[in-house]
Amino acid sequence: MSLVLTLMYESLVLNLNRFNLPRRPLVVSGVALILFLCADVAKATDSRTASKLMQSMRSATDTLNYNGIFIYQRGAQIDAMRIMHKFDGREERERLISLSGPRREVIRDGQRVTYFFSDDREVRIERTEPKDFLSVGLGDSIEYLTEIYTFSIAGEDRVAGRSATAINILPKKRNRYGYQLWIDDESKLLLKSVILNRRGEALEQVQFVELLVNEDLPDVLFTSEIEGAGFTQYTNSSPEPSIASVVDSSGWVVGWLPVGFKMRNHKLQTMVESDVPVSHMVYSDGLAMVSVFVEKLKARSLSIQGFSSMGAVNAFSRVAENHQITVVGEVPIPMVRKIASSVEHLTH
Amino acid sequence: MKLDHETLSIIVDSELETQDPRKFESIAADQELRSKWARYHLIGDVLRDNLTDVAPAHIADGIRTEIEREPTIFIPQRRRRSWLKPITGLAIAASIASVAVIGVKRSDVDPALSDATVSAIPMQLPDDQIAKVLEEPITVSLDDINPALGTPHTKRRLNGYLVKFNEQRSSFGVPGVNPYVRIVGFESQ
Repeated sequence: MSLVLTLMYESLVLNLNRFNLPRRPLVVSGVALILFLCADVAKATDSRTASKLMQSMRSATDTLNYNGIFIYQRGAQIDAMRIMHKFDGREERERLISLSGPRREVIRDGQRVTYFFSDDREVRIERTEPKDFLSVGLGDSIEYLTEIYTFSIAGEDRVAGRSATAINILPKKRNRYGYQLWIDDESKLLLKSVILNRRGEALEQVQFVELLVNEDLPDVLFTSEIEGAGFTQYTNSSPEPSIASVVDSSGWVVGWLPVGFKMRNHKLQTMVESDVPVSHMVYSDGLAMVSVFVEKLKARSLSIQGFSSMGAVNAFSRVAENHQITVVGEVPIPMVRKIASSVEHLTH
Repeated sequence: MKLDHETLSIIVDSELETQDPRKFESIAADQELRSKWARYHLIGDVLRDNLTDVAPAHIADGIRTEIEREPTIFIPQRRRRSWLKPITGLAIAASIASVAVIGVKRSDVDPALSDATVSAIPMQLPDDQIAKVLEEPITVSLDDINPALGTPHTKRRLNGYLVKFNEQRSSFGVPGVNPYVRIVGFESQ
């Protein structure tokens, strides 16, 4: 960048000299150039500071004890929830409880995650993959991310009575969403996050209204008060193994993805109430994530086609060669459609 | 083509720029739809806390009058774990809700998104500004909608996909919305 600017400056000097122009404008443009270069350096420092903050945030989220109430908003829908988190040096325990509407809970105990849905009288137990504790967004370097997003420090603010630093992460192209993160100055926990569309409108927002950090949280707080008698229980005791190959056994491939997206995982999964395995391919650019699901259709009448969305998560479904293809992602609607349209069956 | 209020609601709801000027001409030509367009955007902005202090007073008065005219109704809502609403069931109010099943046709031109675009939070208010918004070429087409989208089977399936998506998101620990939050906060209908 600087090299290009220096070259531009030199060619400007040459051109101006050729026309025998007074030298004063050159001084002015020289000063402007220096200011411009300083801005460039400031930008780089900004993105380094932002990425450092995000790294601290990630480790604080995983390793601190905290107990707080936050609101979750997407469009007109607002819910209040409580989150409790504890780390004993080896394993994380987490409990998320809905405070408005029907009683729902998620309890995470290491890799075991239990979902309680009292409105559906359902309990689901899943085993997740171990969390990647040290990565900055999927282990990608900030240099990689700054090719796709612009990181900047938006300024100081207050959330839940605590002072926070706000970070803007804005996509350079309009095929992504933007993020705004408010990070607690003291604990480095995430106090507020907003996902923005390209018009700057919030699609989804989480904001703490109360947060207590480094509290002693007894184990009893991490057990559900929902009795669960008479609930239907679904258990998925082992995490599905990942498939090593990019092309799954049935030969389906994703032909197009926005620049920067890489495959992160590929599994054959079973879904609740279905015995047909689903091929699940996971892609991410380090911040945004897209899932591609392919499964054989049992009957044409069960096919899904078209768009659906929830907050910042969009989906597009289509049918090809008697297979159901569904793309779910935290990217704008035209992108999920474009990705879904590119999924094709390789014939050998 | 005369747009009905549901379609307008979908257009306002969606983040889509469309390329079919006819839809927007029909909004622009219809006084009632035009004011609804402004109102929906205003409601959305109020909810998203996007309004600045410069909102003209008559707008606030207008909202107050509207609110006073609306009867207050308290309905106990049974919430379902569904994140999908069939197009036929889309109420006008959906223009401010996040869930919509929509069909879209648009090309994928990607001019760079400048910082200014995002920091300048849009405020759709008076009629002369609406005209500017309407000038942007937009296409919304409902061709892609499958009537089966609202069936229980489809909802279950899509919810299943959503859970799997969020589970993956949780193991990556990407910043933003905690993935379990989305699962607990499934839409009410």
